[in-house]
Amino acid sequence: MPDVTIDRLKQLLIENCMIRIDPCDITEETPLFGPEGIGLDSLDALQIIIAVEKTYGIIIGDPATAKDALQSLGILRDWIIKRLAIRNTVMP
Amino acid sequence: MTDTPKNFQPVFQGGLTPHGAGFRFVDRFENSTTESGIGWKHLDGSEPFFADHFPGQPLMPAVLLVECAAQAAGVLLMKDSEDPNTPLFLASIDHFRVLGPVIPGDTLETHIAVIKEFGSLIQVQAECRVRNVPVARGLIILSRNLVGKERPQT
Repeated sequence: MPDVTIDRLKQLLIENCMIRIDPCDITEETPLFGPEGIGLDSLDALQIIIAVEKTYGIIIGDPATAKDALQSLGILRDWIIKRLAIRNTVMP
Repeated sequence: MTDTPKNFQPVFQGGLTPHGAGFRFVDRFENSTTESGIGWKHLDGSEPFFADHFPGQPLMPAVLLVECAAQAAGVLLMKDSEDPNTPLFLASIDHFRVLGPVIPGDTLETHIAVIKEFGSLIQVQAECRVRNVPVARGLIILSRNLVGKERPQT
């Protein structure tokens, strides 16, 4: 399974979303949505959700979870790590 | 040609989609599973786009292959919808490739499978075939809402 790093998640972002700014300007704190963020929309969100599922095998099943997990790359990284840890505990 | 399966009741007058007859690209549809199916469209050569695309060398425009995929996906998704009268809208075309020509006399067979439904958005894998040979394939996203912001008044 690929590492859960900011670089890897940024790569997923670049491959699956219509990024309108220089990817070098995206940090782990940069908001992904909203006027202060990089301007992703709901279509981009769906693309990221599918990419995360394919890459890490973690399902983001509802819009509320997506809203929490996709605030920034740093929050997404922490959310994936937490979910992987829970999964590994349940299925060692 | 309209050859509707007995187990499917069209919700739109005259066809399986809300489009008018001149822009209808699904004659018949059958489910493979609840989340996949096949739409058929026979092209008898009378379709108006063949006359000009191209004069003397009719070829189905590739963008209409995307439309075939979108309409077939729409039929699949509207069938099991809580409100089957509400149409869906094409919101994104991703990684769509044209693999072969489609000409008058061909019957297009569009295979559709839902990849992910999330909120009002649904990503669908589509493959158009003629005589079981792929002629186009790709991913599309349909939306249950009309995507985009309101345009300023002019």
